[in-house]
Amino acid sequence: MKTNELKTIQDLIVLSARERPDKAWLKEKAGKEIAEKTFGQLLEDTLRISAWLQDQGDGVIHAGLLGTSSIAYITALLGCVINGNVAVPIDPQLSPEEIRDNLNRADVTVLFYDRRFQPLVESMRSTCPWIKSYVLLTTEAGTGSLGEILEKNAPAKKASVGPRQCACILYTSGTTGKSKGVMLSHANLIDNATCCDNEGSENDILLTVLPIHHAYCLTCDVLLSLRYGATLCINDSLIRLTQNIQLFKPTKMLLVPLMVETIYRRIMVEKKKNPLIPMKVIGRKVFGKDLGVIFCGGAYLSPELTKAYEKMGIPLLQGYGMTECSPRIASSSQADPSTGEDVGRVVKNCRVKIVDGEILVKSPSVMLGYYKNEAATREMFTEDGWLKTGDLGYEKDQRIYITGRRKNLIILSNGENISPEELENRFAGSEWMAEIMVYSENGQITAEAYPFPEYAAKAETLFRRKVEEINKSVTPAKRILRMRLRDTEFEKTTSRKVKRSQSGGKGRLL
Amino acid sequence: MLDKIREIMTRYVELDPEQIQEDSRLAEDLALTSFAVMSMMGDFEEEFGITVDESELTDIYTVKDIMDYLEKKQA
Repeated sequence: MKTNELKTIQDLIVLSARERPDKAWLKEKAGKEIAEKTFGQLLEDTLRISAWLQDQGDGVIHAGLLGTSSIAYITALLGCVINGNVAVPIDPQLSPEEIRDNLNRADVTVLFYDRRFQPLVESMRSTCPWIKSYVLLTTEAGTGSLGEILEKNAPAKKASVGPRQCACILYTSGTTGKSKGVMLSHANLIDNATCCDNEGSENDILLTVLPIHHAYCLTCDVLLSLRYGATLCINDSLIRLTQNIQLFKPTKMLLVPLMVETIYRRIMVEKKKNPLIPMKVIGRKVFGKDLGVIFCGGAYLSPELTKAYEKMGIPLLQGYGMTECSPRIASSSQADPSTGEDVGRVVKNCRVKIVDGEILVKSPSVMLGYYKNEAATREMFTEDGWLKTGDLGYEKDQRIYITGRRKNLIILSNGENISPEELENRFAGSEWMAEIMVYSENGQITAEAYPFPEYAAKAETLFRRKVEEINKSVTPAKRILRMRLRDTEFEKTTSRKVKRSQSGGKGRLL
Repeated sequence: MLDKIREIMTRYVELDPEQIQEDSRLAEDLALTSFAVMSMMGDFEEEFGITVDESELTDIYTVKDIMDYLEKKQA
């Protein structure tokens, strides 16, 4: 596919269908069978969805998607985007309140949802009057299902879509505790999906494992496999990752450091039990014999892990990015791997400069802005239009080296960004607590509290109870795993703000 | 049941089976990541012939919770 012909996601879908109409693009388990969708069917189905969306209101429709990767989900997402409507994929692990809030703030009027959200959708019908239509994400025909839309609507004509039009709104953690909707245009996503040369082929088989509401998965699994005419197989659940690797025999996978670490730990336990079996043999048993490379991004990856995977014969290639950059800023390839210390080479069309130690970026992949949040958008850019990544680091020979973070986000090894303030706010109303700070310690979310002196005796019990209560209300990745209790106040700046970087870790570990 | 669970769990943690207690907390005491818990549930699926639904795992904190869950699934 000639990348200079690609301006929009519509072009990508149309060209891939023209080049390989009958080749299977998507594959997933359907009972004991494997369901497939060809590139040709994808074009037709997305245009059918677009025809249906035309009847759902005037102007551009914002359609929410609530669920995990599936053929139906990906078809619906691209069906929203192909003729200029906007897809809003929502993190399915959020609480019902957060889901409603995200849908509301993105002006969603149509919602595609997985069957397991049926009870939530029933309650939303009365509490979310702004949502006019709900579509069950199943290809089986039935009232209110995607299958019904595909059956009853003829494909729409291709509409004219401008590259600068918004294609997706993806939520990302805000530093003030409220998530922000990142608007990515067609041009943003296409630029990022074409920012590296020779990074795929039609013989590739990708197993998509990461959550589809993340830009990394959207660009590097979905759009890249479309660009190269590769096959994209769907991992239906992390529970069955090992089984799905055996079933689909992927040649490439995108993972986050947490997964790479966990799988490695398991391999090492196996190795200790069977020291005579070579690492390569154990590696092949877990990853299948066809896996040629793992791409890793979203969080810090230790150089030791890269070396360990090398011993198993599986190159672990690192990249660096953020949702606001669609997401790639730097990337590495087998021909040009990172040295282990850097996070990859700056991608094509992207410029990087360092100001006061912070990495700034200018590129066609940089977002349009945060949806309906001009103040936050302004804050993200310098006056001359450079995006502030919030990461501290340096650049040498076009390679990026990360040294720390300026902003307050906790980045977990699964790539989830967590705002400490969001968790701190959940302690509000605890009458025993004078001050609280949440941060990451040894890779685990830690809460450190300073109780009012009169509660000193009961503080531990009250603290534990509160943490237990919070942990029940947040997604597993956000749970507080360590607690520290202190008997002195946190150190403050002159403006009475807690000095985050210097204050943590002084309390007694519970 | 506990012995079988311990045997599977030792694929993920470097501990002797008897160090894994019913009241051991998965994240805090055994240092299991959320992804390790998921992978482990995949092993239990095969071992016990059950189907695990991701959304049912949110209330699982301890080894005892796993035992209760598997017992309920097998019933």
